[in-house]
Amino acid sequence: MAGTILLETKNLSKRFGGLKALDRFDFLVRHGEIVGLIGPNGSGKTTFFHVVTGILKAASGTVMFGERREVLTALPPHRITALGIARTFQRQRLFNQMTVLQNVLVGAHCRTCSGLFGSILRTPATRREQKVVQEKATRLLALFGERLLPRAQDPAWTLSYANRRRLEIARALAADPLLLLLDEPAAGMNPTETRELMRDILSIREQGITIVLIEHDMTVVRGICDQVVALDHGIKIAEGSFEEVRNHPSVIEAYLGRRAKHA
Amino acid sequence: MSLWMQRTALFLLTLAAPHLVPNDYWIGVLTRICLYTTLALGLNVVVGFAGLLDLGYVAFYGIGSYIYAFLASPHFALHLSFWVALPLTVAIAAVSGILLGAPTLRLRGDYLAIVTLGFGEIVYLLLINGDRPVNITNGVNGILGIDPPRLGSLTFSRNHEYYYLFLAFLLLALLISTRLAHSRIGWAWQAIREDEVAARVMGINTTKAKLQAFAVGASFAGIGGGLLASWQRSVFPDNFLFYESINILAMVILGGVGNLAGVVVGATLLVALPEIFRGFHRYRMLAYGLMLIVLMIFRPRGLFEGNRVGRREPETSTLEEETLSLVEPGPPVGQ
Repeated sequence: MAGTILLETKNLSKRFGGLKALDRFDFLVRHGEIVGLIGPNGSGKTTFFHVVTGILKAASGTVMFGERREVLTALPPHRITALGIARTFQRQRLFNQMTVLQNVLVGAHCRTCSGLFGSILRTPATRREQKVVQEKATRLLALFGERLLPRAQDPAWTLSYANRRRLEIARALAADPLLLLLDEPAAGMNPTETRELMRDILSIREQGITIVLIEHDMTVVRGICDQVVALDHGIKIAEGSFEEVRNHPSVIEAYLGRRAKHA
Repeated sequence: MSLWMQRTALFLLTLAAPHLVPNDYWIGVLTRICLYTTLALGLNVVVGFAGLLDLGYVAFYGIGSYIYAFLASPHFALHLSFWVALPLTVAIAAVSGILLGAPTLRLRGDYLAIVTLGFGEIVYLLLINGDRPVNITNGVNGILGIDPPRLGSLTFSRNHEYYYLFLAFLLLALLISTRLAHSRIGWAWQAIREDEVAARVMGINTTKAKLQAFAVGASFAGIGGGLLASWQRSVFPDNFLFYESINILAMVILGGVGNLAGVVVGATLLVALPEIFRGFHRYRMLAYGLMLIVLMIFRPRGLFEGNRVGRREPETSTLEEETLSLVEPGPPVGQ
């Protein structure tokens, strides 16, 4: 498994009116990698996640996923999740009025199958599935030690900022993804929490889950990413190891700007 | 086990209720409470669980009533037993829920409310004008002579008999609602209510889930409609005015949207209070309105602190906002 291509995009483009959010973007992730996606704000990173997960439709290009290289470009989001891609959001999108546990249970939706009538009749199969999925959700909350588990029955909106980020990850993991897309997981976290997060992400990779993460915090990118891809204005400007990308002239220019010509 | 004792006490109270009220008129009021609670529980599935603001719920109530009337009256000379006609009614109402729900799937919030409101009016107009060119609904004259339910040798005729029948269906509706609230489907509905984009990304087929919500809501309305027709022994288009949709919605909101106990209390209060205020003649609706306003000021989320009304979560942005924020130049981010 390791080393084979898990996700590949070719010529992926997306426009918003006149703005090219993604411009012929080629991207590749192999099994077991952690790939960091960096770039200034508005460079198309989150748009890339939206397109891969099917929330936004690509203008052109293809997204291929898995061993059978299934084309995702025309699939609705729930089918893509079922194939094995889960994500978190840059601005948190938890189900705020639901409990912490229920948030994770929703994440397992595509891995469970109880239907309307099974739920009404509460058939033995439904009850069995409920028990299994509750145990799974509890196990996922336990990944974050004592951070989430004691709060399982509290509404999600009562959680602290960092805990909400953790819950988003737990919810995404409930979908049993092969590929996990994390959109700025460390945003708003203090240095201790960030270190903890890096450990958590590495332990998720240990479970065989491939990860792509968007991150502005370069200690995270340097610390855990095998590969780094830099985007600017929807165009891939550099890729390689963290050091290679960081010293790439285009990346420096994208972040810091070009020296004025007639100064 | 105090919760269990409370519930048993409450159940015994509902069983004894017809013997505790002064006269037959009040037994009728109790029966209406059961009817409207069943309806409100159905609307609660759509509005409370799935967060779809449906202002035309009365359409399904009307469809249920008329289907039952068609199946068990001299109108089409069909005289199906109540126990056959009601399940058929519920099934047809559920299908109508899917058919009316399907065109609204892409709509949200206010726009969904406007379209469903239109559906309510369309069904009402169809019932009124359904006597020409072919007489189907008998127009404004309604359908008369509907068969009463029979159970063994008992033919339902008196209010307290209907009360127990309606109570049984109310308990069934309550059981189904409770089970759905704590099920995979119920969680999916609530997820859609909380954040539809996130729900889709979490693997929920929102199209299917919303249609299921419409179908379940409409089937509760089908139960209510069938019960109304069999009790009133006649149905008229004017039983299904827009006012009824709002009334049922008020029951759902009063108790607290999405909260089952709240819905039961809300429906009970909104049926009982106008009767209690009946002695005040003309001022009765005024007092009722005043009470609703006071409630909205002091308990904006309903008596039972429901889930949803009056809430605007600052942190859940719409996808449009999120993509728009791409267009605006952000602050420079250093390493």
